[in-house]
Amino acid sequence: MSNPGRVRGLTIMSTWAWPLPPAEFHTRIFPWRMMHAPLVGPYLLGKHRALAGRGVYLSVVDREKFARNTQAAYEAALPDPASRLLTWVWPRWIPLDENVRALECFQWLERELSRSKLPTLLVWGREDEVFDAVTFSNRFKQMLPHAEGPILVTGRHFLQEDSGPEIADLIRLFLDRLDKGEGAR
Amino acid sequence: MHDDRVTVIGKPDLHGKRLSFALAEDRIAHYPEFRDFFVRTFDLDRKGLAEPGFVRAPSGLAYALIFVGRSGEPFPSGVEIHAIVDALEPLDCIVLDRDLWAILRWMIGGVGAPWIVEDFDRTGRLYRVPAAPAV
Repeated sequence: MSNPGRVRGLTIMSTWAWPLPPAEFHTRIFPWRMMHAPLVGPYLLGKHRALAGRGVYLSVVDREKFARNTQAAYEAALPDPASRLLTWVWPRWIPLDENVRALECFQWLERELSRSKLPTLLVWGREDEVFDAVTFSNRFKQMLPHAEGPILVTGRHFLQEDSGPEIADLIRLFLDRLDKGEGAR
Repeated sequence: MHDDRVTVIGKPDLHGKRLSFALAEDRIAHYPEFRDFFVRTFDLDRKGLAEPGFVRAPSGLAYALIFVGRSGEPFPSGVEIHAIVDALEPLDCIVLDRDLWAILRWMIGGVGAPWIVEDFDRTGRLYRVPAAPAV
């Protein structure tokens, strides 16, 4: 959003983009705040690769398929504690109250998105329990009333693992419509 | 494994020993109550950087908690945990992991509500940490 001239369109999937309120999941000590608490984060997510080794697995619908076909790729991409740094640093940037250092960053993001007229596609994981479809996709729809969707697909937070080909088709068709000048702005 | 198996100790005899790095945290006050716990436990408002905090873990090994200060931030801003081991001997990774688990569990218990060791144990089990206690 800091360089909209280089952006042709947006696809937004199972996330959030405002300072407050947080997702209810992010306010819980078990497991969210505990897993990246001081010292616990470097231990659990760094030494014990909790995100790549278990967290993503827990956040897909078809866990057997993920474990069989994909989990090794996540683990290979995050092979050591140094490469896993962001897996506990990033969660600490998610605002939980008005005192956090990321507040201004998310205020800016919400403001810029609200002004955006970029063609936008909303795709949401039907089973996402962190950013549930009703609450979070609807707020994006209010923020970006011209957006297409939300289109619900099978998936939790890592919805691309359950519906990768379907999501790719949705994006490809969205881009085709932009090429033809049919995209909503 | 119980909290009482981690105890605060005085400075151990470091002759013939070395410090083996185990774990680091550069934002100990991400949740401020964690910094408060270390300040309270090791009298850091008075001692500052004068010496590490020392604990003995379930294996019997002593650990040094080396606190880190950063200009412009309340002290401490970070902490490194080092195992104190025989200078020419390797450190058993399984022993180290169990000790770290115990030290973190002791820390959570010391930080206090709403942080509770039961939630720490549940988190460890959820993410299949070998040192986490079974149900």
